[in-house]
Amino acid sequence: MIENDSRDNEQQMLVSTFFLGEAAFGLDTAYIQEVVRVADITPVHRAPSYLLGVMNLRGRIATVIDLGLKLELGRTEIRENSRILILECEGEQIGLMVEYVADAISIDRADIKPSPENVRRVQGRYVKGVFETEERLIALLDTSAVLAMEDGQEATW
Amino acid sequence: MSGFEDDLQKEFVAEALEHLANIEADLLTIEEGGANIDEELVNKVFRAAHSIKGGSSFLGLNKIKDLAHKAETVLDMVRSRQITPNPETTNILLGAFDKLREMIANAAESENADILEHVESLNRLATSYLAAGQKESLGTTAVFLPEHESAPVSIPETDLQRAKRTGQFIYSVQYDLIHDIERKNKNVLSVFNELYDSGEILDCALDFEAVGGLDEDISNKIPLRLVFATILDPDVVGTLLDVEAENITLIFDPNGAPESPAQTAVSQIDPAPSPAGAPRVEALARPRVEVSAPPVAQAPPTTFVPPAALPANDKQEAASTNKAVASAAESTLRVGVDLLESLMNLAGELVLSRNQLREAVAKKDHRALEVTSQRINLVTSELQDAIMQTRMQPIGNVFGKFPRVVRDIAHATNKEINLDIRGKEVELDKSLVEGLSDPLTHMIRNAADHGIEPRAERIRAGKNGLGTIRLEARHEAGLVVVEVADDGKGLDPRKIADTALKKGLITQDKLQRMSDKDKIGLAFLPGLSTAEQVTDLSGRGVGMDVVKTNLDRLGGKIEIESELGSGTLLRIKLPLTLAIIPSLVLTARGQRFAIPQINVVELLRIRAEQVKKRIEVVGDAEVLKLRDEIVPLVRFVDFLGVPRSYFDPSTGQNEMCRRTSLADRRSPRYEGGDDAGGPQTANAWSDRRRKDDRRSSAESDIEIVVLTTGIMKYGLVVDSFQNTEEIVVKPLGRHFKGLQEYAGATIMGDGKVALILDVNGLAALADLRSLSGSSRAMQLQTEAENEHLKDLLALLLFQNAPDEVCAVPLDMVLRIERIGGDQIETAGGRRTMQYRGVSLPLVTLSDVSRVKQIDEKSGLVVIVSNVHGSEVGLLGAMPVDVVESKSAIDQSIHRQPGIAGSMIIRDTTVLLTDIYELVSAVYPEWGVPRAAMPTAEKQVALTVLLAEDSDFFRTQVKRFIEEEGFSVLTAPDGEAAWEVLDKYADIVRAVVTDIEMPRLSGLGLTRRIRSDPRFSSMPVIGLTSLAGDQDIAAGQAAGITDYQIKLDRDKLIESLRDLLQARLA
Repeated sequence: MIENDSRDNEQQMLVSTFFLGEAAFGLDTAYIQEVVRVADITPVHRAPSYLLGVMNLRGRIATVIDLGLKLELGRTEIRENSRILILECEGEQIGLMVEYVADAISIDRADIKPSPENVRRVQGRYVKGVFETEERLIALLDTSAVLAMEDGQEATW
Repeated sequence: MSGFEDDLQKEFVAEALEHLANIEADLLTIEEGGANIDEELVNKVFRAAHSIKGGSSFLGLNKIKDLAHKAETVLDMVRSRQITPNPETTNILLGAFDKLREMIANAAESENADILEHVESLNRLATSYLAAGQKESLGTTAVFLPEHESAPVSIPETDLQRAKRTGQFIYSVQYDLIHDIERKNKNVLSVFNELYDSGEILDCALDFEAVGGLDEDISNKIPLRLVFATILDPDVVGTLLDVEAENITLIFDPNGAPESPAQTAVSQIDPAPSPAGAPRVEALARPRVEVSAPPVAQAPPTTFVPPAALPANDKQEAASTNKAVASAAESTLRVGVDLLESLMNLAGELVLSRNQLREAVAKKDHRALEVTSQRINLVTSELQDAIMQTRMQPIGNVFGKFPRVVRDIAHATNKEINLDIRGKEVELDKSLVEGLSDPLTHMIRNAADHGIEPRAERIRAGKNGLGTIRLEARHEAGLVVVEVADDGKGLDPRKIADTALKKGLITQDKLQRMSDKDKIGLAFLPGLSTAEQVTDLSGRGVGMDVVKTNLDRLGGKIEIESELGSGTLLRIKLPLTLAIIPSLVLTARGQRFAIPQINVVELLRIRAEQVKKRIEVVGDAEVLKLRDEIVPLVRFVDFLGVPRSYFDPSTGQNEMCRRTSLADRRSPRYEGGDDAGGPQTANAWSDRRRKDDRRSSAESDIEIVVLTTGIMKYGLVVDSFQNTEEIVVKPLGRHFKGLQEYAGATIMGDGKVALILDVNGLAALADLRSLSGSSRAMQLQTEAENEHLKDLLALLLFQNAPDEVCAVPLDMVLRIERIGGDQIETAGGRRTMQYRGVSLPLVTLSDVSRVKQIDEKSGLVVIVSNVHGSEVGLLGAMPVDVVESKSAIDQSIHRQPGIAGSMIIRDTTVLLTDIYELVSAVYPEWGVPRAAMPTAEKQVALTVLLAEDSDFFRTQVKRFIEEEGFSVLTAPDGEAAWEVLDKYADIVRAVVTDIEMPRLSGLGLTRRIRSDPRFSSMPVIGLTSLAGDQDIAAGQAAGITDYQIKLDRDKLIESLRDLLQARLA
């Protein structure tokens, strides 16, 4: 499946791309454990609203994040094609709810450019950089920033 | 070794170790019982020894067999009451079982073990208790030669005598390992186990002589001969044994001569057996025949190992075998059949799903593929859960070894220590149970070795000579709590602090700001505890940091509480991450939540029409009236706020989030589509609630679960309760760490996640402590909790005049009779009636008290009591009733001759009749003391201390006792009584005490009295209003001399008199 494992080839990187509304994002596949369909999500009341809740991932409790809300793009629309990207972080499974998942593409690390000014302003802290495909510009997410706990998030909410 | 035998040996080892697991505790319990033998328990231990003997005998593990046999003989003597268990016998048996365990754990090497010492002690023990004529039986063997058998059967004389005594038949049974056992899908050990249920296997051997026939293929038959003792007679035994009748020979009939005329020969063997321990006679019964084909258990030649050849370093040997024991024990795990069954089901489902998956793949059916994948997903997680559950073990597995530890330390240090174990059944993950073993051992050792003082020192300190260590496990607020508490000398915070300072572990500056509690906590500082002088000074603290480190690794917490002089409490809190807890599942807004059952007090449904009566608004809070208590209420939906946005797969819709502010902790409820946000004021809140018409609608029954945090109770209003389920607690992700209201999450049967509520967190969230309503509720609750200290008084209510309700303490009432007015005879101004052939004096309240005349129309009753040794009837009118009341007794308003006081029962004033006073007033001549009073000078010295918290009873009882010529000192509680006693130690001759009192109870007072040498023989009379057998037992355990009922004046005085006279004499 992975022809250009990023760990084998420093220059190449396999990026999974997905959409939140019109915006396209990419995440290094090395971080993605699996992609699952949307199942029952149990809401956790009184948690920050970008936390959709928890779900049963093969007997483990996974936290599900609404990536749209997290990136301050507004609520992620949940449709037939919506998927949850499961990331493993410090022994814990965290799911990112996205509107729909597109291709996985291989890119050259050298092609990653700094984010444009306007991107930096809104989601700057979550975006590592951007790269271009034939069709569009894709923002590459910084996994650790996305999964980080929200210190002071409530104050700015 | 062949595979067959190898497996069998493994099974034998596992089974034997299991048998041995609880032996220590059982032996200690048996010792405790002394001459009062618990036959069932002795039987259990006997069976353990017996089954080990059987199995080892089959496997040719002769040393194990011999030792087990000796232990069995001694246990049989205990069972038949020839030996009374005492510490000596227990020590010998414990030693023997320790050795057995050691040998079994290392079964392959067991033939080289040295059992001489143990065999000799057991023999000595048995011999010393045997009657003179029986002594020689110990080492002898009776040999039978059954008719149809080639080999003689030898039975140890002790076994034969046991069979005779208990009326057992002895059979020689020929099994064929292949046809009777293997082909029937059994194995030898399981056959043995079946037989143990109905008898005893005295011997077993592979017997090749018996086959002998030329017409049979020798390799096709492996004969096993058992000598089996049972009470089953020859007609039925065949069914049990499940072999052909011709293979069963009766060799001993308890009812008469043996069926097969045996040549009974008794051969004498050396009473102290050879170190090799192999009975020689038995060797006859097991001729060595070399057979190459069958993979049989053949007894390895017993080799004699001279003691000198044994490993010189015993310690080393012990250490290595201990390790072997541990590893052998860990290699198997007991799993409940239920769980195993559910695992089987899940495995079955998994197979089914796999088949569906293959089909779906083959057909390239995308839809089916998805369904199957989901199914497999579900099954797999359930399977995982179930497998996790197999790891749950009762904590009792660790606790089991502590009685022995404590006993040994007590023995070595010459102390008396009682170990009180509670909560053995609490389940924990296997790894936690194992991980707890070391720290707990450490804590128990510390408590026994350093905490509890020697008896003399304890008595000097005014404590009970018997020290107590309490070891308790329980679920609390979603955690597993394990406590080790001792009533020893406690820790000295100053000494710990000094040491910490000296070692440079803490600065003077910091120390000054520390409370005593903090200072005691320093005991956990790494480096402090290894210091020897701490051990000497404080007597504690050895390795406490090690304990803490161990627990940290398990994710546990340890707390320490200690009071110098009165003891130390160590509390371990383990996370329930791995634990399975029974929980109540409830729903609110269609979502399920679990609450640990341990926090649930009760479930209530309040009917719509009751709501107004039961639920009240105090300030801005709702409270529930629950019997005598006022309980604050929390509406769970308020806490939930508006449903958060979530995807509803049933509608495919994304529910909208209508949340207002995260800061709005109480997320007010919304009516209709009101989306407007902002926290509402308390006024708006209660206004809205008042408007709420839920209470008047028909379907507005309210479901409340009453919860406890351990400190306080509150009611949670929910939509509905579901059921109680055992749930596996799983942690929530770190994003939710800040939410104190959740203890974790669990996966329900349908694969969905339910959140587990934290009862403490919820209470804090609802800010229960600061609500005006609930602080009042707390106050009311405190009052209610003190309620139990008030005496429950059972009263017989009767009418005097129609609007005058009177009462007599029920304890004073002998009988109640309905009579007609014409039965009363009046002569000389005194009333009597003919009653059972004698004249019964009658009194009524109006004889002495200013009450109305009795109304005879409503039907008269005579309440018969015993006053000063004579029966007296108190006239009353119907109806009569019996109530139990805790109401306060007022002694001022209605007090007058014949009436002790009044109380409010069911909103009515009830006059409490003082029947003694009444009778004394009507029959003054009765009050003459019957027994000779002590002489005047003695009388002055006869001072009685009365401890009683109820003013009413205190004055009443004081009056009784004073009227008898004693002088009385009173105290309103145990502490005060102790102060008085201490001060007037020289003149107080007896103590009369209530049981339930604030500060120090009557039992506590008695214990204190008993542990002070000045008062060791002081008579203590316990007063109760209602004495249950349990209370009496507890009182006797504390050292109470006699129990009396509070208002039974005559009995109390009599008891007091008897006790004092006994003392004066």
